[in-house]
Amino acid sequence: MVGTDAVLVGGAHSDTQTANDVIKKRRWAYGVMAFFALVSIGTYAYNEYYIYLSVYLWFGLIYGMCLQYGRFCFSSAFRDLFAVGVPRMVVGIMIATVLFAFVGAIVTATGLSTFHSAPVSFHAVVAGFIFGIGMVFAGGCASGSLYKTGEGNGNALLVVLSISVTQALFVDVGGWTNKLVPASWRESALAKGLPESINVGDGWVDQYLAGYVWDQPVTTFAQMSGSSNETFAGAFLGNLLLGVVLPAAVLLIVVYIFWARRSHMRRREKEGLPAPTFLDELGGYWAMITANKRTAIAGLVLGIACGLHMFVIQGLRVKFGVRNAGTLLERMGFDFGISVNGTVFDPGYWYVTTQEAQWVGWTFQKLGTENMDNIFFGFVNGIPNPAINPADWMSLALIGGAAVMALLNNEFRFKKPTLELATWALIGGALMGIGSRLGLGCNVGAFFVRVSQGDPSGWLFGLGMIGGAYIGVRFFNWWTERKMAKQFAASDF
Amino acid sequence: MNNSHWAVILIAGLFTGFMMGYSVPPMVEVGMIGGGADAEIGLKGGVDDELEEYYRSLSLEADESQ
Repeated sequence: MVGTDAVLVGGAHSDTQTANDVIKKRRWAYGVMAFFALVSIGTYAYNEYYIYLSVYLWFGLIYGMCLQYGRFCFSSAFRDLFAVGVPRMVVGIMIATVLFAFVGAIVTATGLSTFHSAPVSFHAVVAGFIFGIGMVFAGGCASGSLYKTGEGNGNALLVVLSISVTQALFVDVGGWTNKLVPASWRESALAKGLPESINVGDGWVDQYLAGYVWDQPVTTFAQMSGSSNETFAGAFLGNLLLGVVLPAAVLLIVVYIFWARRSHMRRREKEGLPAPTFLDELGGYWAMITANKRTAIAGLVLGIACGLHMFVIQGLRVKFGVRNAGTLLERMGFDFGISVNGTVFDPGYWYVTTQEAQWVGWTFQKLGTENMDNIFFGFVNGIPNPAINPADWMSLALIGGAAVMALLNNEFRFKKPTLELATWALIGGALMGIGSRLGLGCNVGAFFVRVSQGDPSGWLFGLGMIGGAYIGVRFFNWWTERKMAKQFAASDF
Repeated sequence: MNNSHWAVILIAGLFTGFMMGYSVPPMVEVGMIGGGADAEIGLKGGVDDELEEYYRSLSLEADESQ
C-alpha cells in the first residue's frame, strides 16, 4: 500500500514537473518573440531604415518556424532515401519547391522579383557534389543545421561554425593555391579591370569567380524558351511548368518507381487486390506525394513566405530609392565593411551561407586579417557588423523561429555533441562551406531558390548534391560496418 | 496546434503584415502595381493638362520675344 502511494505520489510529482517544464518552455518561446518584437519596434523608432532589416528578421523567423515544423532537412531527406529507402522528406522538398515556384512565378510575372540567376556550367555540379557529401557527413544541410541549432543541438551549432569559418578562409586563400589556377582563368580575371583595392591576381576563389564563373552564361527556362521572365508565358510556362513542375514530376516518378512503389504493391498484395492498373499506379504516386502532410504544409508556408519576402523587399527598395542595403547602412552612418561597389549582401530572398561567411570575415578583419581585398567580401558582399547585417538578422531570427517552434512543441533539448559526432560535424561543415562558395550558395540559395525561380543552374547544383549525398551515404555505411566489425572482433564474444 | 502556436503565428503575421502594408504604397505610386501594361515607371510629377498648357504658352511667349 505504501509502495502504491509512493508510486502515485511519484507519478503526480513527475506530471507536475512535466507541466512546469511545458509552461517554462512556453514562456521562453514568448520571450524570444518579445525580444524580436522589441528589436523591430525599437530600431524602427530610432531610424525608419531599420524596417528593411526587420523584414529579413520576420521572414527569417517564419523560415525557422516552418523548417522546424516540417523537419525540413536535405541531409535527412537523402540519407533516409538512400540508406533506408524512405522517400517522404525528398517528396516534401519537391512539393515545397513546386509551391515556392508557383508563388515565385506570380512575383516574377508582375515584375516584382528580386531574384538574379546564377551562371550555368559544370561548376554547379561539382559544387553540389562536394556540398552533398558534406551534408551527409555533418548530419544536416546548411538550413537544417540552423534550425537544429534552434532546437538546442550542439552538433548542429558546430556544423554552422564550421561552414562559416571554412567559407571565410576559403574565399581569401591565396599563396600556393595560385599555382593551381589555370592560366586562362588568371588572364580572364585580370582582364576584368576590377578596382585596385581588389587583389584579383592573388586568390584561388577570386580567379575562379572572375576568370571562370563570370564568363559562363546566365539564363532561365523562360529565356531558353524564348520569353522574358516578366511575362505570363515566361514566368508560368517557361520557369514554372518547364523549369520546375515537369522536372519535379519526373524526379518524383523515379522516386516512386525505385523506392515508394514496392511498399504500395506490398500493401495491395496483403489486401489481396489484383495486378495494378495504370490508375492504381497513379493512386500510389498520389499517396506518396500526400504521405507527409506536415512537410507539405511547411513547404506551402515556406513557398508563400519566400515569395512575399521578395515582394516586400522590392517595395522597400522603391520606397527608400535604393538598390542595395549598403546605401541604407551608409545613410545610417555605418561605412565599415561596405564593399567597393557600395554594396553589402542583400539578396532580397532566403539565403543561408553567405551571411555565415560574413560574420566570420568581419571577425577576422577586426582581428587584423585583410579580408576586403578579395572579390567575395571586398567587391560583392562586404563584411558589415553582424549587428546591422540584414542577412545576419535573417539567420539569427531563423534560429529563433526554430527555437520558438521547438519550445512550443516540447522538442527543445540541449544536446552536447560527442567527440565522434563533432569530428564529422567539422569535416562535413567544411565540405559544405567549400561547396557553397564554389556553387555560389547552399541547398537553399543554390538549389531551392534557384530551381524555384526557373534557373537551370539550380538543377545542376541539385544533380551534384544528390550524387554527393549518395556517395556520402555509401561511405557512411562502409564506415559504420567497418567500425562495428572491429568492435565485434575486439569483444569477448 | 494549440493557442500558443496561434499566438506566435499571429505576432509574426502582424509584423509581416505591417511590413507588407509599408511596402505596397511606394510600388503603387511608381506604377509597379496597378499601373497597367503601359504605365510609366517613375515618380509622377502631378502636372495636369491645364498646367501643361500654361507651360506651353510660356515657351511660346519666350519664342515670340526672341
